[in-house]
Amino acid sequence: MIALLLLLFSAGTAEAGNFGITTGLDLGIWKSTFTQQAFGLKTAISGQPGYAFSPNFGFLFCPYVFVEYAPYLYKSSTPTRSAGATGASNEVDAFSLVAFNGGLIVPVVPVEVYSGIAYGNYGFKYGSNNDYSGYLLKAGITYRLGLGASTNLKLKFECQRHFITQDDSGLIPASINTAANLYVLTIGFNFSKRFGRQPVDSVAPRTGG
Amino acid sequence: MTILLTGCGNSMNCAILGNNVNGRINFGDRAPFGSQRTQLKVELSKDIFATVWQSQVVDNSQNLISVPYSLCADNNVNFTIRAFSDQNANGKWDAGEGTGRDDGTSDGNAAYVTRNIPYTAPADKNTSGDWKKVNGVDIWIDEGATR
Repeated sequence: MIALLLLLFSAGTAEAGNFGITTGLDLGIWKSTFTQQAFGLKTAISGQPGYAFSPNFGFLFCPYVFVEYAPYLYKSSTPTRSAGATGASNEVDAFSLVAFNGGLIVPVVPVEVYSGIAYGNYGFKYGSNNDYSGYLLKAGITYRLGLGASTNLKLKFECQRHFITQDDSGLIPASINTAANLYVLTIGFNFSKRFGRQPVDSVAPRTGG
Repeated sequence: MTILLTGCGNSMNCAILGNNVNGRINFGDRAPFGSQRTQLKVELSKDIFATVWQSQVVDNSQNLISVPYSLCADNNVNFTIRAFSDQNANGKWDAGEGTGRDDGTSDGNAAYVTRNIPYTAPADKNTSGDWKKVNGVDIWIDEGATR
């Protein structure tokens, strides 16, 4: 990802006006489904909907490409339940400080599509308190509403597939397939600035993911 | 990091440095599903279960197939570990409840693995010394007429 960033950076700086920076903040809701599969058994657990928080910082290139660093924190919306409480709800949270997106700003229509990779944490806080982590892939689509030359309001929907490889006891044996699907809907503001001379025929929109 | 009361057991060390036995309770041919919430009980013995020295209840109300657990074992002594599915939550194993041993197999019915975690208290009491943790002490629960 860093190599890609540097490559795109150098390409972008060579084309003055196509390079820019972008930053933003998204707030919303999320929901997840956790699964374990082994020994011919499968368990699927739905988490309670919760709050999503994700800032982003990135670069604009070319002029329809962006990459961004987008750490996130997803919290449960329910209060902590004591272990042993009965009920169907599951309080979970998730976060990542190592999360990157790369995407395309679709010309003509106010839409962006992106995908990303991250290493994140996914934890239960109900019944058996378990702390899982692993790699995840994600993809999303953003609808943007321009509020000015450099400001956008964004509505974003993102799906994540979390390949969980580790728990409290270290690496999970290969025979136990553990994963989580996360669905995130956010709304947020995004600010961007492009540098240098804009090409005369450029219709590049501002924006990043 | 101060090491205290090593002569009185490891509870203080584990509280500061984390439990030194970590593993999972896995369900083999014994599905953890049911109308009642399932409690799992992990037991640790120093005399191959002539007596139970320490135990811990892990609540599996989510009906997970694999549930992590952790225990605090004394250092420099031999110990063995077993677990069972305490479906009626009475704290003891009853016939018909799934059970398994820390035996390195995927059915939990073989001879126990005898474990020993060495540790020497550091001369400098303000350091943690060489605190060791044993991870991956997995126990498979299956149908068992006896433990």
